[in-house]
Amino acid sequence: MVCLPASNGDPRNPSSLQYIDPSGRSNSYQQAIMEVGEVIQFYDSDKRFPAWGFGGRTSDGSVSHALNLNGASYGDEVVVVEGIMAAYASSLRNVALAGPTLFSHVVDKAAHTASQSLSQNSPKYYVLLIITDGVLIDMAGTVDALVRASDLPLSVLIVGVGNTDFRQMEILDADNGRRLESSTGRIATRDIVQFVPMKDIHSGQVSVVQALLEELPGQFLSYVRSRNINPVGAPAI
Amino acid sequence: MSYSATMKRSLEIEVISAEGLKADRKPLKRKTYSVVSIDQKYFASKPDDLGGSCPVWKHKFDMEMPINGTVGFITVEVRYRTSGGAEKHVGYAKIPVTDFMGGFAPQGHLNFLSYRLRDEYGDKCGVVNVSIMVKPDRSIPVPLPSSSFAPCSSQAAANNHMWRPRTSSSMASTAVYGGGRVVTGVPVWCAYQRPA
Repeated sequence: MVCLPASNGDPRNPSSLQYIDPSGRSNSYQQAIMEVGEVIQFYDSDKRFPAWGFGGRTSDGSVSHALNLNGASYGDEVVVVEGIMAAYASSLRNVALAGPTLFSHVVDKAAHTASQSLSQNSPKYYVLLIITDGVLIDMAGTVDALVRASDLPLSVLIVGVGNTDFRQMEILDADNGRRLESSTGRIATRDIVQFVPMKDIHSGQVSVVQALLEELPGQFLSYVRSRNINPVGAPAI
Repeated sequence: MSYSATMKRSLEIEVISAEGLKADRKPLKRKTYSVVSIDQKYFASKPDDLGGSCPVWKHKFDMEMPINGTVGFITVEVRYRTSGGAEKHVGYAKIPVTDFMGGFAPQGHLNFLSYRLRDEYGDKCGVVNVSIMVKPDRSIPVPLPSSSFAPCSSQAAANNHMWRPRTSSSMASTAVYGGGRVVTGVPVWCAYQRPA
């Protein structure tokens, strides 16, 4: 599941993070999609990804915070990384960029998808990749949504592009050992968020993929171990 | 109305542990126990053997919960007994029923839930960890989950049957939990592994 904002700048403006360069040079979002997508696509058998955008105004004039990036009203899946790239480019042409950055809608949508698999008796683990420039206006709502999702087979990877203050994302990442706490006093069952800013990556030695996927194995194992889910073919304990 | 008044659902609740218990802002050293209450019915766990601010109870029990809309919360309290026998309250947490019924959790799903404990003044005094499973009610058909979103294929596994829940078949769970004897044979799940 891939989710991109449509909220930061005009794709025709070279100073915009979402500038589509006629010469074909990738913008920050495209770089992030390529680098991360190329690795995580191998963990998906059919290589079909639902791709959503947030903060976009669609042709009917409504602002959506979980719109289908491919522009279809039904069916949100796109095929492999090239599909995400194409959907992203077409969405920039067809969706007017609108409004604030909200995560809670896409996190809830991903949680809903992950929860559906629980009742189908064919265990799956989901990864939501969010690429964003950062400043959330629904921090409390996002924390609530992440806490609600923390007991589901779901991890959320967040890539930060641009030079915004990413302190909010660091809080969501919860690497300081403090579990997220919702407005109702529920505490996250486990850490499901990993945040990596692109600028750190480009100035350092680690690849974005390495940094982003660092916590995923642990998050995955914390889920399956708590539920005694064994890999198929493993000797029964 | 008498029909709805008798509608109940059986819950399997495990009070697992608590973390960072405090009394008067100091780490607690007592042997605590937990009390779960639903609609004026109580169940108390055994006290933690070691005592201290991070007790482990791992006490599992069944409780009935009316589902006619009168119960919105389950309450978990942490208490201890003084040497004189008096019962002292450390803190409590309210668990909204919607955190384990409806919402994201299908029936029969084991929900691992954690909550902030607050004392009688509303101050934070620790975190409590529980698991709650709503036992499937065979007499009522289970409604299919809503399909407002298209099914997703983004499974991390390379195919749908990369994993199996250890308890997905009654045979497997009996072998594991039924006295620890070694059972030879082909598990039921193997039959589903390789669809033609």
